[in-house]
Amino acid sequence: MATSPLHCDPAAWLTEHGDYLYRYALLKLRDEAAAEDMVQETLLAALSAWERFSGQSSVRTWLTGILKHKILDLFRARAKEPQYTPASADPVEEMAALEQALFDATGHWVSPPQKWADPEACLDQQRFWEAFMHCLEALAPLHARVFHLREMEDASTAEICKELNITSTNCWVILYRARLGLQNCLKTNFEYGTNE
Amino acid sequence: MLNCKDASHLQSQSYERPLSAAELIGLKLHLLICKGCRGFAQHLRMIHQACRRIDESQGVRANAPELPPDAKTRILKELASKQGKNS
Repeated sequence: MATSPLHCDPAAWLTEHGDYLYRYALLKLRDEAAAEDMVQETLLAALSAWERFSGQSSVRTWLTGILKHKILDLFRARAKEPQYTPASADPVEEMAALEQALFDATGHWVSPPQKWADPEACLDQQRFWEAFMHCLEALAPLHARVFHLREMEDASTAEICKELNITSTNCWVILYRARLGLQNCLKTNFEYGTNE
Repeated sequence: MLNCKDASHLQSQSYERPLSAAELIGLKLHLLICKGCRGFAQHLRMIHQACRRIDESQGVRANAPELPPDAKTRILKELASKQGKNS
C-alpha cells in the first residue's frame, strides 16, 4: 500500500481506495447515488477517526471496515422506511412461483441440476463472474439484501432477523429462495461442462 | 421420505444452522439416491465460495464500475472543508 499509515492524507485514500470502496458499496446497495454517498461518509468518518487508527491493518481494510458499518446503518434505517420494504409482505408467498417452476407437483426437479465439471476452475473465469454478478443483480431487493448480509457480511440469522424485523423461518425461506434463484440463473447464464 | 424440494430447502438451511440428526439422516439418504440434488449441492457450494471470493473477483471482471469523476471532485471538496475545520 502506497499510503503511509502514519500520514493522514484523505485525498490519497480517495485516489487509491475510492474505486474499491465504491464497487464494494455498489455491490451491496445496487444504487449508484447511495454508493457515492457511502464512500463520502466513510472517508469523512475516517478523517475524524484517524487518530484512533492504529496502523495495524492496512488503510484499505480499515476503510472497508468503516464502510461496512455505514452500509449496515443504512440498511437499518431503510428497514424502517415503507418504500424499501418488500411489495409482497410474505416471502413464503413470493417464492411459491419459483418453486412451482422448478419443482413438479410431487416436489421433484423439473430439470434436475447437473454437476459442473470443474467447479474450482469456474471461479477463475471472467465468464463465470459476469454471470454471477448479473444473477446477483437479478435477485429481488429483499432477497438480495438478506443474501448479502448472510453470505458476504457473514451476519447470523439472528442478526438479520433483528435488522430486518423478520422471523428466522422467513429468513431461511428468503435465503433458500435467493439461492434457488441464483442457481437457476447461473444455470441459464453460464455455460458449463457436466459430468458424473 | 424427503422429496427434492424439501431436500434442497434443508441443504440451504444447513448453511445457516446445524441440522437435527433426523434432518441430516433424511437429507443424506435422499442425496444417495438423487443425482439432481447432488448437483444442487455442488452449485450451492460454488455460490458460497463465489461469495467469499467476490472482492478479489472485482479485478477479474471487465468494466468494473468506477467512482464517477464528479463524485470524486465532490468528495475531495467535502474532505478539504472538513480538514480545514479540524486544523
